Amino acid sequence: MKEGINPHRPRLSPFFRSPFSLSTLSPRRLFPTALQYLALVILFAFVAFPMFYIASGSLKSTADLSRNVLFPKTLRFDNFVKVFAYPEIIASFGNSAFIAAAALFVSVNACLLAGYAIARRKERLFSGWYLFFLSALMVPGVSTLVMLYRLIFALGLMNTRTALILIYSAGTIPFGILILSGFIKTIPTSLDESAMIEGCGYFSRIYLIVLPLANFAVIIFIVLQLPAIWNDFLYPLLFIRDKWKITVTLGVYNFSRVREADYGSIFALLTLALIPPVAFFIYGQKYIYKGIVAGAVKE
Amino acid sequence: MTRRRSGFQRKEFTNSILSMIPATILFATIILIPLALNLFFAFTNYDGLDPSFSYVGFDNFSKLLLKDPLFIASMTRTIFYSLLSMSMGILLQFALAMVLYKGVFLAGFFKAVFYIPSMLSMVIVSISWKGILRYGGVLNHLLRNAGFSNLAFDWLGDVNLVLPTIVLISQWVYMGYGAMVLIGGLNSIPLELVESAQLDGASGARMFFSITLPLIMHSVTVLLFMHITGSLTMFAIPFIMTQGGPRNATELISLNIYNNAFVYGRVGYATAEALLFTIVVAAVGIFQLNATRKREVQY
Repeated sequence: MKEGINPHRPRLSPFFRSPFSLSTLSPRRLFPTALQYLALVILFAFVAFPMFYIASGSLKSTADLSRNVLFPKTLRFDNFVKVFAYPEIIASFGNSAFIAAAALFVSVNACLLAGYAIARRKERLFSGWYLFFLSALMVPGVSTLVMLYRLIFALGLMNTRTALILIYSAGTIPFGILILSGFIKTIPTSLDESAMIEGCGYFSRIYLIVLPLANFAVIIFIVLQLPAIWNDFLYPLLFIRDKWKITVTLGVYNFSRVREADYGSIFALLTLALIPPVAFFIYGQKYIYKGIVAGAVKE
Repeated sequence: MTRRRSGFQRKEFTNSILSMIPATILFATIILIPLALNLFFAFTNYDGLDPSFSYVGFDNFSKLLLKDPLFIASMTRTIFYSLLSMSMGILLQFALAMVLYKGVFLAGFFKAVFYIPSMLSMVIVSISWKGILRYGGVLNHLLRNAGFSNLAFDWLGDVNLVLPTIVLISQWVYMGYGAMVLIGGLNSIPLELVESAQLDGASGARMFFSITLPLIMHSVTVLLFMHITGSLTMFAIPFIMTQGGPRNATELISLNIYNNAFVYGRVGYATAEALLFTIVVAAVGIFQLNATRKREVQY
């Protein structure tokens, strides 16, 4: 090691040293590196095994499943055939997609309009209004559940997808206003003003000038909220009865209760239900990581 | 000229108010009205069906705190669950963040695999783990084959084991997510600070507690807040995996509220419980935000 040649050269922090660069493989440092990989392998096994087991289990015969072998002896697709015998399960993927898309469409528009007003108006009224929305971030969902049930019943929306769309769009509004008004504040007002001089009205300004500039914030919002909507289970459980209107989560839940001990077909459906989130993650990875950082790191 | 300008500004103001309306209506209907109704019904003996309920004052609250062993038990259980899952979560997520941050082989792949569980619905998580943890399932099979047959427990059927098991499952879900939040914080540390600390001779634990931790305190604040609200309001995993059993061992407070409202028809009572619970969650959340924000440093 060349330490000590130049006492003024800063040593790199252990954080910034790659464990794979050979110069660092002194016995004193090999131990932490080995420990680090050991920890990684253990945690990886813990996290990856269930997903692997579900996916491989979906291709196993009942005999293989009851013998708990890790890999199927022969690949069998009859578990998937059993799942496809329930067409409402397939429809549930469409329902979930429709509900999530509609809820996000409503909430992006509502938050964009309100976020613009909050970002641009200096009056107390609007900053108070903003806090009014944000206060809801502290209220746990279960505490409004009972009365929400009565309300949805009173509105005649029981057993409709509209109920879910309304609940999800309202539920995402506080976070949407937080992120969109924050982002719109960083867009220079001179752009609005020059559009105003050109005769651009209030609402066309929002959609023609601000929206194209704020699309990063809109994407972050969608990327963070879409999984929450897609994955929700409690509201469909309470509000949806008709088997043709169920969401994926309710479909998986109902299916697991109908075919209680038939783990092969349950695993097949779980594998199918894993596909959309995993695909979404792979597709939106860049934005997901950016979204986490935007939420957790001070500017 | 001045009249036209003030007319224009008045129009701008009206348009700003108009653009707040969609978000406000949605938010007020779906979130505020249930919350207000909740506040009202908490002081009644409404059973969900009979419209001739009456005002009972603080009876629901005194019954909850003094005469309901199930409520007290589920509250203590929730606190135990939260403390266990938070401390374990922070440790595991810090460890994982450190390992991934130092840079490992295939870091992108590992990040993705660790992150994916947090993209999945609790329904998928619960049913997958149920398939793995059942007594004749693959975990016990692997343990027996590895010679640890005395460790092959009935993970979800043993009163003492079931809650820690659920804690482990929640670690499985959130580990990658928490690590990514912390990595976001670590990435935001300015390199000069680390180098100057090293020049001053800081290393190891001193480095971590004096430099790293204060600088990522904002990420820790966000993460702790998510841990607290997430674990206190945990509902889906116990609801799907064990329905609160065996012998109420997994009946957390959210599940207790749900049962009172939707199973036993004690709506007034459940709303009082939900109100109390909301206050507790908000108070703990605000306390934590204040306590850890004080430790955030400016640089």
